Amino acid sequence: MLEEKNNLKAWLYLSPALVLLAVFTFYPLFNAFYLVFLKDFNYLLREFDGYTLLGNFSYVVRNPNFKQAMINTFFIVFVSVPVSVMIALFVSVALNSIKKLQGFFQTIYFLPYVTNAIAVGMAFAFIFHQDYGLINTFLGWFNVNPINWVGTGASWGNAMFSLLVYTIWGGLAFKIMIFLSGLQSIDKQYYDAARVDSTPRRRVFTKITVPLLSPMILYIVITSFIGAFKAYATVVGMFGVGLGPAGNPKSMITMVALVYDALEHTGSIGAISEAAAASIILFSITLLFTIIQMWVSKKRVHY
Amino acid sequence: MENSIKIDKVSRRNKIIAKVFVYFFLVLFAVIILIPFYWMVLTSVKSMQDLTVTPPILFLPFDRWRLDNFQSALNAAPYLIFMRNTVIVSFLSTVGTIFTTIFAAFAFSRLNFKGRDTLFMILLSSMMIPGEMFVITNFITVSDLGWLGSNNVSQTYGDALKALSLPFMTSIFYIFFLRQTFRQIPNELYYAAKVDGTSDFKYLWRIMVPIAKPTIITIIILNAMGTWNAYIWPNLVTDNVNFRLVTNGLRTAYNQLSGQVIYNEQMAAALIVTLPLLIVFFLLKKYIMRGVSRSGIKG
Amino acid sequence: MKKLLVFMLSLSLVLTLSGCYSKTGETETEGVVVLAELPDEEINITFWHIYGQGKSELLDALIAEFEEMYPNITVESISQGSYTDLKSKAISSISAGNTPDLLVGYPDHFAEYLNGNAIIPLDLFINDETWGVDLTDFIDSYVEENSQYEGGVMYSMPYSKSTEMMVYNKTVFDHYGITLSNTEPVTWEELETYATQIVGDGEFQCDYLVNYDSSANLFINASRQWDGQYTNTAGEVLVDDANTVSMLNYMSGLFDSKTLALPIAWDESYGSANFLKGDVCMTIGSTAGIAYNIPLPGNVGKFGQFEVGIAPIPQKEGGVNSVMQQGPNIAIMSDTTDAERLASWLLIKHLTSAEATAQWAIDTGYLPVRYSGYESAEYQAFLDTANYDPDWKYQSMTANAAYAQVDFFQYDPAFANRVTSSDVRDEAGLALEAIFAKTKTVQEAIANMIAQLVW
Repeated sequence: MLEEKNNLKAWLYLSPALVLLAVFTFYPLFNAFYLVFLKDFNYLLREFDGYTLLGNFSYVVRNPNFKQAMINTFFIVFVSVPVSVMIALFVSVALNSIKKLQGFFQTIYFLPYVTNAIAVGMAFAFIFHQDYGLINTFLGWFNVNPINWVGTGASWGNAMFSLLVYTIWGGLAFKIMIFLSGLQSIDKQYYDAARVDSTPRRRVFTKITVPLLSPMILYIVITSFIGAFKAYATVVGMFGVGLGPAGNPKSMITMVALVYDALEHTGSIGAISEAAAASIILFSITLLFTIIQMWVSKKRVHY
Repeated sequence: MENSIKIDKVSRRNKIIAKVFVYFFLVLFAVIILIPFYWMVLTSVKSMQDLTVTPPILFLPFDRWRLDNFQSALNAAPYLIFMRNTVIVSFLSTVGTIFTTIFAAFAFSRLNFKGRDTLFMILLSSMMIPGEMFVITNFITVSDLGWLGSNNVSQTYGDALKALSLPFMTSIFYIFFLRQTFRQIPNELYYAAKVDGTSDFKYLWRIMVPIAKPTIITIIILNAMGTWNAYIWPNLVTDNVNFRLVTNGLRTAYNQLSGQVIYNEQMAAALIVTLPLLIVFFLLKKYIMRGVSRSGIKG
Repeated sequence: MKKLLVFMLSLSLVLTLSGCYSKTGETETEGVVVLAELPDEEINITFWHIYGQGKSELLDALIAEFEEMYPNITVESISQGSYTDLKSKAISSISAGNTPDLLVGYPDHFAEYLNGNAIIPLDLFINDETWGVDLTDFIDSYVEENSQYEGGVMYSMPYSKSTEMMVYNKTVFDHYGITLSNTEPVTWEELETYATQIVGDGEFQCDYLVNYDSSANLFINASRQWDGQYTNTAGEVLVDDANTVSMLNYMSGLFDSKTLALPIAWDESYGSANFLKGDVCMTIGSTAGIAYNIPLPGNVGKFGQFEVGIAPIPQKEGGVNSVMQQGPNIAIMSDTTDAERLASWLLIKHLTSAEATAQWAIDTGYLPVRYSGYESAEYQAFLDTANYDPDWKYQSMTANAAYAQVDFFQYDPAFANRVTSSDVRDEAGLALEAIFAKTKTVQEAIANMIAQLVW
């Protein structure tokens, strides 16, 4: 009886969000799952020519860039997420530990979030420039020969390294902001208690800060994973629509780039179903990882 | 006695060293973060000639600053109208988002109902589909709802506002975020309130929302920013130039004949768009700090 | 209970969905009817383009003129920002059944719209006794381009056209006593001989002789000059062709001898900046981009404020003369009434009239779409370099170089299968870039291009 009442109340609380989500999120989602089984769907006429179970999926897998897209996407996910979460965590803990100039630093760290993507792209092009870029200038002090990071004919490794730096940099502002708002919600009592017991800094970090911040860390890790699996804008920002350094086009292609490539042809027959198929492949992989993370976190996250 | 003073001195010295180290680290990090922003400002005041010099000019003397880039950027699009529209749309979508998010996050964090975890997983999973997939279907939805006008009737301002803000009046991203904060609030508070006969609704607004203030303000900032930076959707669903948002003005900063981008003007335009946002952030930031220190809730 | 509700909800959604889409069957193509008289009623037409302030003012003036001629027609002209934005918005609006009345676009856009029968054939309007135009007055290549669709029917009219030209550092060329004509194309072979003198790091030398802005245009255009294959309107990729391969081998040789460079040599998208700097002594680009290649007082490059000359683009000795013409055309959408179609047609007719096209060309740097536009007194005065307006000297020289190439204009074939003509074009450009960057041999580049396009 009580449970039933609670159920009703819960759905009532959820209803404003759910109504909007039903129209603008679930419906397109279902639509994607529907489109993927249509044969020769013509978006312009909203007509199709029968059904197919795997036809659209097989078209995506046959794409000459599919393998490279998978490799790059996994590389970006498993390098950029841990590294950027770590950096953001340390920076926000350091920032939270000071009193003077905290607001000042906080504002600066937030700036990338409001910086125009093209400005960031241009700045990074300059940072990685072979002849007068900051990184090669810096390496020059240690007698390292200039490296072709992102220029014409740059290798996969160099281009990927640059892309990762750019990706990590780009995600920090948001993560620091979330961690900081999490840290500020932690009750000072815990730290006061630790100070009385003169607990060492490292122990305070691992035994108080991280556990109490664990819901935020979980949030950031999951959303970053999802975001990193959807990497695309960073590649375009750094390499343009060629999706790779000049001379090595598409060497930085990602899974989402396959979706966008199909979506650029929405007027062509079958293209939308193909985009849906690529989306669903990506969706399944991401979902698998999210479920694993949620499952692991059940044991680790402290509420 | 003497010994304890010595220990005190050592620990104070260690503390100072640690502080210096922390500040050094923060400053270094700030510099790394600032480079692109500096680049943006620098580019926006460069003349076309200074822009194309190799190696690029790192420090531009003030007498060579070109403020006419801002002038031409402002001339390229009706920014004042765009700003007004953006403010209205940000306001609508942010207010909507805050309400739907608070209610939904409360349900997910405090109420036990059948299918909660399943529903939450469905919500999360919808974040995994690339945004453009949604845009294509949503455009047809909005068009079928009649918000884009039809062949004989032009779109009204009200229709445009609906099309621009309604799809963004809720966000799974922020529901998830707020849920994480809500779940941290100790259960004891909730049970105590139940015993006192406080209704869930009252509890939510009197206790949970004030505690979660930093998170909610963060959501407000992020959401407003999202509207401010939205490009594809506003361009798609507005049929009249006067209904568009600020970012739609940014794209005009390229030469239409040759397709070459005029970077300095584009950066000037970007700064014009960014500046109001920064001011709002400055104002709200103080509010976050105050919100935290005064919330006074002790777990 | 609730799970059931969710299930029902989703099921009903899916059902509504399937309701929206129908099986491919007979698509009713409404015949085009040309009204004998323009109705008296108020007619509103919507025109989508990409022109921002400056150019749109000019367009607005032409539209105001038009509205004065036909007081019951009101034109709402909307700029959609860029061609990409315009196309994606048009595609969505076609699917949603909420299109404008007429719009500008490239042939590959129109080919895509034709997948949804969304634009109408214009033949009946063109040939109409009251409203028609004389098609022979339009530049031949433009007519061919706009009638390359199924049935050889004109689906669009040429509008803002441009082509390519070669800008060169006249100061350097004068130093060697080499004179280039403003209207006679040089050959690639001649460029090779110039390179032996001009390429180097001496005082009157450049690192490379000539830059080519658009690697895709170079590929397409040069394969035509070598009588090689590229692609066709059926969408076949034909680049594995002896003549095309020999063209690419030749270009590869030009890269090696530093006769020819692509902008990626300097990590750029265009070579103008490097031309001004003196890294390269000639540059080939769009006639619409001339202003970027003129050194201003105080130019910081190697040659300071050097003199500039303009010539047609190079041709192959004994080959097929060819140069790309490019730029958008205008089409009328099918989701319109007969009155709207007639009003739209009248607007197109007005915008492409001899006076309007000449005026548009002089003010914007595009080219007239009609021979009579070229022959108009106004445009002839503009072309007359002996009595040019000094402020428009380079624009006049550009127009002359462009006009000299009219007879061998060629266009991209347009198609929109799953692989579109613009994909083939992009891959052609990337193939040449890979050859230039030496990341692929000619054979590898061709094999890769085919692999990327046929799967």
